Amino acid sequence: MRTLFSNLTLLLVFSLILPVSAQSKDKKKAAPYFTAKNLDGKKVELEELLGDGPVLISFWATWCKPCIKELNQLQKVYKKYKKEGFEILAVDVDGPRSRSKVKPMVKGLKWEFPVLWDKTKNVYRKYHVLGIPHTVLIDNSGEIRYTHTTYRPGDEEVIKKKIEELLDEQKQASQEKEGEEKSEE
Amino acid sequence: MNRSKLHRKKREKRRVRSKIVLFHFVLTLFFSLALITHSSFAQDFDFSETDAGEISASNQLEYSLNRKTHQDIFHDWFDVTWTSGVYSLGLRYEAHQPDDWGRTRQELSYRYFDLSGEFLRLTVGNYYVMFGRGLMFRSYENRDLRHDNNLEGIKGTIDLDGFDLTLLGGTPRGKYERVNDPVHGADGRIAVVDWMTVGGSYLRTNITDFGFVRLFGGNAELSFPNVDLYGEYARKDNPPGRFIEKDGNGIYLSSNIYYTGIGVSLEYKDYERFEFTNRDVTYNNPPSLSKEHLYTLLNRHAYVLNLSDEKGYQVQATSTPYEGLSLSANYSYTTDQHDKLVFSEIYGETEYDYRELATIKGAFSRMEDKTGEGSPYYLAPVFDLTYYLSGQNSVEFVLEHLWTSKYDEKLTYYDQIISLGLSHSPIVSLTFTHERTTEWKTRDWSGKKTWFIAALDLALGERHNLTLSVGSRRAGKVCSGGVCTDRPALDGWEIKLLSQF
Repeated sequence: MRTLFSNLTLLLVFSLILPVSAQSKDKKKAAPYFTAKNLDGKKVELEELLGDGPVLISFWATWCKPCIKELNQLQKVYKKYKKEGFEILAVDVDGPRSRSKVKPMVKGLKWEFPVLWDKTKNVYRKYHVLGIPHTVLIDNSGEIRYTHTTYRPGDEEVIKKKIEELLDEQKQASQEKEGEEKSEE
Repeated sequence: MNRSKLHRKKREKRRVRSKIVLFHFVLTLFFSLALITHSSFAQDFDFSETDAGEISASNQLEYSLNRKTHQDIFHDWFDVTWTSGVYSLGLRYEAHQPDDWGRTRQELSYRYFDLSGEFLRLTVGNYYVMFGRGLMFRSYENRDLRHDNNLEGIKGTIDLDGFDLTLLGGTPRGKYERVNDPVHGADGRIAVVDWMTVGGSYLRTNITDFGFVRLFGGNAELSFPNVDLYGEYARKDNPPGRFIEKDGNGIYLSSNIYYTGIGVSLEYKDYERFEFTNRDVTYNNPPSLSKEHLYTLLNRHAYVLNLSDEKGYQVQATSTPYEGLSLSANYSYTTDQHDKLVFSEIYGETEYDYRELATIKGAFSRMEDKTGEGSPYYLAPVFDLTYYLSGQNSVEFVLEHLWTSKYDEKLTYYDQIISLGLSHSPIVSLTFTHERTTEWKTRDWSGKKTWFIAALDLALGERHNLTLSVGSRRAGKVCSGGVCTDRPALDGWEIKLLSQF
């Protein structure tokens, strides 16, 4: 019981301190940059994708039933917002046992977004993921704007709203920038 | 033990320790020189990016209390990382009261310093690694399995376009303590042409009271339009004159054929005297080629990998003939080296989205396990219906049924799970699960015949997830990647809190 209480106290302290230090109102949480290889063996860098629009990272594996359900729904979201600069990175955390099933599954289920290998779970640990499916939505300046663990039917509706908010923000920011540039001229 | 023996052991330990230090020193020197002398490597790390850095952390807490025995079990993992430019520092604090082996344990199980550039990465401290497809070596963490064989030492990786190389040295974490016999290894890969990559790995360790064990292997990957081929061979050399007279070997082959809307994978395995262990640590974890299930009853009888003596194959096909309908089929077959059946499974699954109103899923599995008591075979149909009440509200009904036949059908019984879940996305879901068995009819039975548990899953903001379960749950296997652990029964309440900071 003593261990439980000491750990709960530790948890409470960190729950209070860390959000204050790492996520104050002025400073949003920056998404850790990473490089991973896609299914064709080409390197994909998160940093390079940011700027065009929001990026959604979804951690998944072939044996994870809710992950497949979520990614099937996210494929529809991807189709809808892809033209506006939205990108999905499906980070696969399959172990050696199921790794060979990844590519046939991706093609079989007609997912069009990039799928990345994370064979030793480096990216997984960088994002402190504790269970899959885990979703992280990053804005075009590289800040984490939404995270979510597990999948319940309808979660994609919340994600859609968040993406639309980010795209609106992005449009507004570019309009403001254009306005500033014109006024300078 | 006499004094000279003790002295000899101490001297041996000192020798091993000094070897580790020397190896780490050489590795560090190698990477330091590479960094300083090679201009592209030197440019790889942009030290000017350094700022105050970013702290992130997570915590996983699990607590259960048995209402009858009043025994409580507590597990906690707390991870914290500080990242600033190319540097990162991290540590994990773990507490178990008791752990799965009955001991109370609190420790800093994982701590590291990492220097990461575009092409180079150097880790000092704890790390995970996998060579090829895990045939020779895989250190990984799986909290559900209570598995963590991280290495403590040093690892350097060069990752260029078309070439990567990993050099490592360290001691692996065992169930009870760190195994003090260091492992040294190298793993590399080079793209010969656009469509072909070849690689090789080497690993060796000096096992106390046994001798040097060496593993070496090669792999090749070929990618053509709509077809991928992969092959890996590894050989394990045992020290001469030991009770394992012959050396071991492992072969893994896989091919993928895919086209938009359909994908097929074919795999083959052949493992003979290939178990690479030191005390309670297993170093290799190759593909087991059996279907990994998530439904409770199907997963309860999952196949456990036997690296000493098995071969077999697996075929899996996934297809989406039209939007809303997906089909999947899997067949796996494992024998021993004398072609005697060990395990086989045939599995089929259909999922259909009906006008965004409902998702209907049906699955069926037939498993035959010749290693189990009475050579059982299992028949398991599953029905899963999700009905969408509105955009964010849904109801899910799952029926799992498992017939078990043993001793040439002289003994049959069934297990059944019915589960009903109500969900309001993304905040809350409530699931009621009922399980019953008729196994008590087949033998003396003093245990429970039915189990009922209610689980409330609650998202507390974006960063905390709480699951509270009350009731009883049957003990059973939890399996992943051919590795299984026994999950204890629950008769009381359980809390699981996942937090990210």
